Amino acid sequence: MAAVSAMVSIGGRPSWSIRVARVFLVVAAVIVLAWLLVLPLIAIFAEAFRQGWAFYRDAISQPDSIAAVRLTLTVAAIAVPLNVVFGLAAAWTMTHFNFPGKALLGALIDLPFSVSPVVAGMMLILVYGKYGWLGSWLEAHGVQVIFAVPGLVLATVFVTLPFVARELIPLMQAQGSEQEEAALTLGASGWQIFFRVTLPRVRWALLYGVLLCNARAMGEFGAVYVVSGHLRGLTNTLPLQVDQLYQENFSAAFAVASLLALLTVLTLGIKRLLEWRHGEALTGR
Amino acid sequence: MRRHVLSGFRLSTGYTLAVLGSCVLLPLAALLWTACELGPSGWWAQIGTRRVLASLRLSFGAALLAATIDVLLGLLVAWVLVRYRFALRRVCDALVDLPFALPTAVAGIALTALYAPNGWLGSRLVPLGIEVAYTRLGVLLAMVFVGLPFVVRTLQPVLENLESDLEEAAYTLGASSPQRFIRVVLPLLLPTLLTGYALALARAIGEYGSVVFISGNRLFRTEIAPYLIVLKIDSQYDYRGAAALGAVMLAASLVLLVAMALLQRWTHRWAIAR
Amino acid sequence: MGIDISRLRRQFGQFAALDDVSLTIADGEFVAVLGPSGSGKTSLLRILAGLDQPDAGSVYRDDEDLLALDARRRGVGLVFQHYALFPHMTVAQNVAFGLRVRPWRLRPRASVVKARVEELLRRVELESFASRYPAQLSGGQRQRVALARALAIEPRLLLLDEPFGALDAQVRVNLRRWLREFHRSLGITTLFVTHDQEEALEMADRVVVMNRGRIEQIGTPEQIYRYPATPFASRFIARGQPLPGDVEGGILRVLGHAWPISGFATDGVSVITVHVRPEDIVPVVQRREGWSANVLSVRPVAGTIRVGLHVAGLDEPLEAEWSERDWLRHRVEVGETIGVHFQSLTLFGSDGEGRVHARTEVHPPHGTSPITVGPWRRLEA
Repeated sequence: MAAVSAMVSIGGRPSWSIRVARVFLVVAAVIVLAWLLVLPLIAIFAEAFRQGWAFYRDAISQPDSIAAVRLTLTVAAIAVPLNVVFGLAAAWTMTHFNFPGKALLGALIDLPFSVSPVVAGMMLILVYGKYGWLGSWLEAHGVQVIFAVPGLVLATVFVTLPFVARELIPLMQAQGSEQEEAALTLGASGWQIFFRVTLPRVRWALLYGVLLCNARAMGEFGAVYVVSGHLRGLTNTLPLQVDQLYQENFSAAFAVASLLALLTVLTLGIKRLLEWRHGEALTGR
Repeated sequence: MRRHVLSGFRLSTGYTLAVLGSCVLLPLAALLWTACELGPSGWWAQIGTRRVLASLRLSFGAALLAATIDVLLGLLVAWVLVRYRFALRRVCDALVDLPFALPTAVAGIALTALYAPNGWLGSRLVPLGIEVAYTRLGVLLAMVFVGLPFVVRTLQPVLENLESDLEEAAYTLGASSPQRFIRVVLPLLLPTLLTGYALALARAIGEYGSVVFISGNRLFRTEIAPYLIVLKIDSQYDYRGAAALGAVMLAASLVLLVAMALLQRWTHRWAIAR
Repeated sequence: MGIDISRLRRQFGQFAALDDVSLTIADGEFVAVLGPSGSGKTSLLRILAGLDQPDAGSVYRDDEDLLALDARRRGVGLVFQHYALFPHMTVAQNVAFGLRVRPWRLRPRASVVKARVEELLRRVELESFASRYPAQLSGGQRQRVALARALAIEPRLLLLDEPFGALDAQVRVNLRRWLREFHRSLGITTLFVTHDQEEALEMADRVVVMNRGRIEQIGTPEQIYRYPATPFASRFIARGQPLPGDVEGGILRVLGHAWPISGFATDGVSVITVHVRPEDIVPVVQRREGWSANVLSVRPVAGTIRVGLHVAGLDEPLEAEWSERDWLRHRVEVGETIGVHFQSLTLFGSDGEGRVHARTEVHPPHGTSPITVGPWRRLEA
């Protein structure tokens, strides 16, 4: 661990005991991360390829898996844009206006983060399910929400709701309203201010939010599990497909899971890149 | 009311409220309504069974313990990542987000595969008498896994901001290194540590995907509350029972949310003083 | 005609940012609103720009109700204190913004926009910086870009918020002069707010002194400096320092000296405030005459000498400002006791609520000969 060096070196050269303590702390932290985080990640790919490349290829190319990929992409393609618009609208409201109940609105925006995904799914069933509040009305109009794609979208929107708003609100708060006001005195309309001044200044934070939102949307399990009804090939997203395969075909489950793990690694890579290249634009500092 | 200078208030607030209404408020109201319909005795009839009580005890107990472990591990990791420069620092920093970004079901089966009696770690631990998979220890482990990034990511920016000048001030006043940590750093970090604790706790209580695989869902022993909700909806079509249990979990979330809001205010007071 | 501001009021909770503010600005005039922070000057500016609305009062521009127009259509150019340049646009794009966002019927053709931007950048002497981004400019350059951007919409009223607040001292002085010339060549009605009295006095045609949401005095720089209307204006602009003094039974008493004083009326006046300016505290040759003062400090500041004095009977030290020549003649040292004379005093007579009813300047003679002052200037309440 010769590479270990102190960043904060108060009072010149640290004493021998302090240097030992530092090395010990770094080693301990690396062990914690390796054991808790790296090992499971490696395990996924190891299990996925345990029965060879051919098996892996077959597992991920069977029709149910393909259908699951397609459904996952579809759900994300609807839920993520919805949340982008929501995040922008919520951030615009929260940062440019003062109104009674603003604090409550802020709390509501954050609420889905602290609600159990399972409870979220259940709540949606209570409203949109067959015996739910809107169930009979929806049925009469021929709309099926629960055990169908709209339900998956609703559940996904619920659990990913705060992602974009959460990135934008603190940033736009830090940036203040001055530039929007300047644009206003120069004669710009509301939409012009939004598209020409606000949006360009938050674009990296928006992308960051979209990235996290998308990762969660594609990977959500609990909430989607409850509302999906697990109809194979119909309402199975990738995580649900992993769950079903896990009961039947261990290695195939890991093969499909490795796709999601790959998405995760990719997401984290892009996230790092964004933080590295556009760190200032993300925090407004 | 005073006219707003910037336009778009109605549109943006309207859309925000419409989405919140249909996705959050309406379902929330439906849950509260269903739970209230039961009445206290009906509610207790659903909750008071041995099976449900055991699951709640496990969910809350393990989550409290897991969040505590997360705070300790998270403080170590955040401290090392902010204060020291070492070879794999960037990789380690990026890795912290893994439980946050990894789909919970994937994490769940990965942990199970590792700790199952025939898994890499399981095959070594079981002979030593340490059984992780399909026990409460497994539930705890999965909860520690999902909660860790919350603590680290909450602590990191605060640790960075509190950088050296405060500590340097303490140093010039003659404090030793451990003294600086215990008397200056830790008290300043306390609200942040508590916020991280609350976030990890909220996540652990509600966690489903990462836990259900490794827990094995053994009756009275390793069934977590979210699992029972799923079970009631999925195979028993018992929406009332699920709502009764869901109301308990929702109440816990709301209490934590309020606690975090209060913590935020506390931290802000210090932010101004600094 | 110009701008007619009448009885503006703006309340933030319990705090009155603007309390019955009225002001008329002539066409082409260059007006400074001077006051400490929290005096309401920025509120006034934001209301004129349309970024805030008053609780009461009116603003007219040539019989056109300005408050009825929203900020977008008001034709008021505003230069923000921190410029609020769009960081993702080049200098040229920033300046062109106001033209490009016009409704398409009124939007000038691209070539016209380009020519206009070029002309504006030439005027603010930044023609070679057109393709730079704001982050690549110095503070003074950003300030001029902000000015050009505000002028691009051809405003009929230009507002500047602390135009030199964020600049270095040297840049500030140069830019001040430049802006004064620029205004002269442009002739556009301009109002700027500042907390720096030197800035206001040096640049403006007329200065509006504000304190706690109220206008304390409006006048030319010279009027304001020579004849401050209120103790606040005297302290804030002329660095007037309070002396214990009183007028009673035809006698003016200041720090143990008394002069018969005639020719004033003190109806409704319950409090007399006496102020002296630093430059009016002069050394006397004969130490017996005048007041005895102990020299606490001597500091040369930009061509003048500032002398801290402790005058017997006063708790607070007084600051005197002498020319280099005066100082050379007397050569006082720290610790020395000298005699000083107050060659001019300003007297304010105000009622119990602090409203000034009368004020005048007196020139106390050496010795005890009587002072004859003109009638006290009555002020309209």
